[in-house]
Amino acid sequence: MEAAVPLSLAMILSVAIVVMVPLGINDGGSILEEVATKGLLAIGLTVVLVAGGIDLSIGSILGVTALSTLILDRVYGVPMLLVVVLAPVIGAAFGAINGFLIAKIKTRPFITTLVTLIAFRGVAKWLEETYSSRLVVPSTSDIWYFLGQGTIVGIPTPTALFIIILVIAHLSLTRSRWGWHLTSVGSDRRSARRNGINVERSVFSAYILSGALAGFAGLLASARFGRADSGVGLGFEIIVLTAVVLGGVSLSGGRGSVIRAAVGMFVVTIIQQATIVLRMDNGYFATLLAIVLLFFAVLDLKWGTYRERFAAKLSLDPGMTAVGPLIDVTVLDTLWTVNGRLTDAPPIGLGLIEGAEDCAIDDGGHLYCGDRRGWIWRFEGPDHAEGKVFARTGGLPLGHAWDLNGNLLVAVGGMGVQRILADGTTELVANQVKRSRFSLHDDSAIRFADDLDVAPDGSIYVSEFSSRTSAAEYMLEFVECRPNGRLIRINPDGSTEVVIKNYVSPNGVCTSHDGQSILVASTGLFRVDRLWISGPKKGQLEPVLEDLPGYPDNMNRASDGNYWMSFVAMRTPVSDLLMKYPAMRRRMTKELPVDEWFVPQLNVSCVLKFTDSGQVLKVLWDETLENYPMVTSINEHEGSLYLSGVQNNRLGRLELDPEDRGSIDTRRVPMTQQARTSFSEAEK
Amino acid sequence: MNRTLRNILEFISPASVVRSSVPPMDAGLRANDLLDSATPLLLAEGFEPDDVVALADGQVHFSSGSSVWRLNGESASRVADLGGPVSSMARMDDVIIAAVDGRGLVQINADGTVHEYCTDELVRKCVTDISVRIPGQIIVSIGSRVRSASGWARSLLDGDRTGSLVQIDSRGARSVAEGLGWPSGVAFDDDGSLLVSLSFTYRIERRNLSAPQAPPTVVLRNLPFYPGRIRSGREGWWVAAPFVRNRATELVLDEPGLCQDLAADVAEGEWPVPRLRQENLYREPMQLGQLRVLGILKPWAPARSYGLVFLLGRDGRVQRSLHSRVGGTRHGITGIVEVGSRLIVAARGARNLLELGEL
Repeated sequence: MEAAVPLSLAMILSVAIVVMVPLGINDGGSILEEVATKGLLAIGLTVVLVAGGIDLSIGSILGVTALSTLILDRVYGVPMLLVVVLAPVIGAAFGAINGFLIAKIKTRPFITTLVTLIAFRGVAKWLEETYSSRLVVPSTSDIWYFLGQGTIVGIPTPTALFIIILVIAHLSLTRSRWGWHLTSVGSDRRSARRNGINVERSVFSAYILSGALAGFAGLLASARFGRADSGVGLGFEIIVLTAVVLGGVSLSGGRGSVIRAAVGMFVVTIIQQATIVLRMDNGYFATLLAIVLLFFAVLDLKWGTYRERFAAKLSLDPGMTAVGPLIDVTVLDTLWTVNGRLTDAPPIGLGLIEGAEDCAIDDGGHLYCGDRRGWIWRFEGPDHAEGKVFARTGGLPLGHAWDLNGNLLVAVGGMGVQRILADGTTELVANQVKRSRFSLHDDSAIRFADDLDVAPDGSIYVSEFSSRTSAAEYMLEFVECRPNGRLIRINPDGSTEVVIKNYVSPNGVCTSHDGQSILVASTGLFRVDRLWISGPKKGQLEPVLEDLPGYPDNMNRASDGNYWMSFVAMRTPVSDLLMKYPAMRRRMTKELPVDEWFVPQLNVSCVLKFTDSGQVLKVLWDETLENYPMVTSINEHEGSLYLSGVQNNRLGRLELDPEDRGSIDTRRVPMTQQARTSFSEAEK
Repeated sequence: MNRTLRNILEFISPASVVRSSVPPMDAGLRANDLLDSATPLLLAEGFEPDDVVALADGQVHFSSGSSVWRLNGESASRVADLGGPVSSMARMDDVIIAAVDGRGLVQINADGTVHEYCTDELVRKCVTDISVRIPGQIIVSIGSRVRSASGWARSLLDGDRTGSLVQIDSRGARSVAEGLGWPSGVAFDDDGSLLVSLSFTYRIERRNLSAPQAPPTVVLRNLPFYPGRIRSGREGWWVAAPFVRNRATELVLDEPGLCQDLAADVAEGEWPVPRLRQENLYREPMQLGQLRVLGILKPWAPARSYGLVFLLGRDGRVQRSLHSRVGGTRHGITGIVEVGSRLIVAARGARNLLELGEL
């Protein structure tokens, strides 16, 4: 993605040249020939740059091998096929000198290859002086002609060979262990070594490859011209370096692609051809090249330094939302009026728990809840006085649910969905979905699994609050309020599928009592929707609750056939007004520290009960905010309500009003006869 | 200046653009919890003390609503009902001068009788503070020409700069300074120069009344709060700070469209501007730092209301300060008086008078 910036600039440059300069179709041939020879050098240089080094001696190696192949052929009469094999070997031998010095002796790549640049050029001079008189004999070999002027399926041989090598190099660099090791070494040598990569071997191999490719390019060059002198390849290193940097290969290592380097080579060759067509002095080309190289080197440096900041600036883009009317909960004697019915709920795990978003109770009455440190606590029933850490998830445990086999499913922010077995071990259920086809952003990971529930067929419905931010950055979603979330189904066979995409912060998920639909709460849009999963309306989404006075969070079934839901925050007039001002919210995120951002009123605890048809039956509050300043989930179990809060230091257990008691087992997946192999009994 | 232009200018020459910033409370303003540990003087409810004065005999009087009260033990008795909101008070020898919104300045004698002192149009409304130089020569600060004293938030929102200083003497009332950003406190120095606190420009400056044309000298600038009334004490001047600055509020004030919408559609108590106290959690804006984590509200969270009184020394530095931070309750300090070795503050936000003994 980030290489797109220099590359697109390079493309614009070349298009501009093609438009401004009368380049004809005849120039295409010479451009292709040039690209084929120098392109091989560009591939080699890219590999070395990706490995974190630099190779300036490629031009000299090309010169030496070009001479050597001619000498082998004309002077010593070595069979031509052997010469074709020997050319890259000679190049590789020279490359090995570089590799040995840099990888083993650990000299600086720049100075080493600068020295070898001169040294190899000296070798070429010596060869020329020694053999020049004997090189004038014309060649009679067919292979020589084939390499220079022949074609493969209509494509000039050098170009065809270049394309083949390009494809192989690209695949090796991006798809092979060798390529990955090389990239790792280039981006961070120390980390690469600590991860067990043989850094010396990787670096050495890069120089060998670069030398071999330069050697092969030398063979092609001498075949093309039918002669060679010590001046062949002079100044190529700077042309190739410019091309590679134009192609977006980073000079600081670790980032780059040979395909893009080849495109850069095209651009440079077009510039070169343009100067030839315009009959400009060679000095112009060199100057132009220097300017381009300087510009792109600076761009590469600055881009490397600022790309993360730049990406961060682009990543948050608040949206404008038309919000519905706001119910005033402070008006006395209404259904919504603030009350203190949650205040006196006795605490569970006070001082032990740090932020349980949700909890689950097994049929032994033991309670399980998450913690911001990634733990799952278990509190012994029935009084829940004693607690211990039962499992460790490694992420932020959020929603809990029981699967058909009576195991605990936990949506873990940062980790996906995990299943916790009776012995406290965790196993991964899913952490990936198929990547969206036309999205720049890689949304294949389940980053922020928030809540989940199990459908009668055993598939798990998971809400992903946002596919862009992590669970630790939930406040960004409050500010951005864009459809970044989705609802994911994990089928019983483990495959995953996105069932609702582009949904604004989906949070609570609850299977309906009849098992035919899934309720999804949209936190950012203050609503609850129903997704039909069977029956005549299968696949359709329809609203259940709209324009709620708060930001809905988790939902769970109640024993009397209704549903419990909690609000993570309440809307305020200002938070509603700011929804109309995305530019202001963007400014807020840029100019103010996170602590100063305006958010909805999060310091409240509000719980409500609603029916399948979307009628709100009752609303419970802790108006003092002393004990339960936030309630993010409410679970009913055998006559008690369990209050969890992702910022609370406790859970609460509230005796249920007799009028609320029903006969439905809230733990059981609707319409199933769940195997009641108890969680706690399996442990014994 | 246009914001984009300003950004470009700042890019070219960073030093040439001054942006509003809220400095930390540091040095003499270092935060503490002294106000939270102060002794409340009123045990009876129903008061909202705004200004407080002490007569020569040590009798503490305070204004609450439209009345002036005398502190009696743990409760208070009404001295006079003035028929309008009392916006400020001062002692002049044995009488109290009180400013009544819509009426002007009245004089309350020791026996409780009331008569008009000055009813000039200039001092009819929004008198924020009164200072007496010598009996008969008074200077008052007028917060705004267009609002009453309770209109502070609205004036803040629309950038009101119509405050003034009015001098009253035997020749009547005349304005000595105009176009100020809500002057909220005045006090004389021994040499006759005047200390003025300007709420909307977060500064305390010194003016020479005998040379009204001379530019004022700034004593304290860019304060992290909106300064209020100034009362002289033994070691300098006590300054009350009813409101504390908030970076997010200043961002809102920089968005004219949003301010208009706020003024039109949102009730005043729900605006994202500093308040004397938290009135209604469920309707007021929240900032993320105010989140209760594990039951704790951190004291250094962005403040919507705050309690602060500080002592401005004669050297022009903040000598010491008394705070009630976020999570505390003694917020919105509006009045101060030094009685002997005791300091009595009127905490309008906390609806009480607080006594800090043995300073």
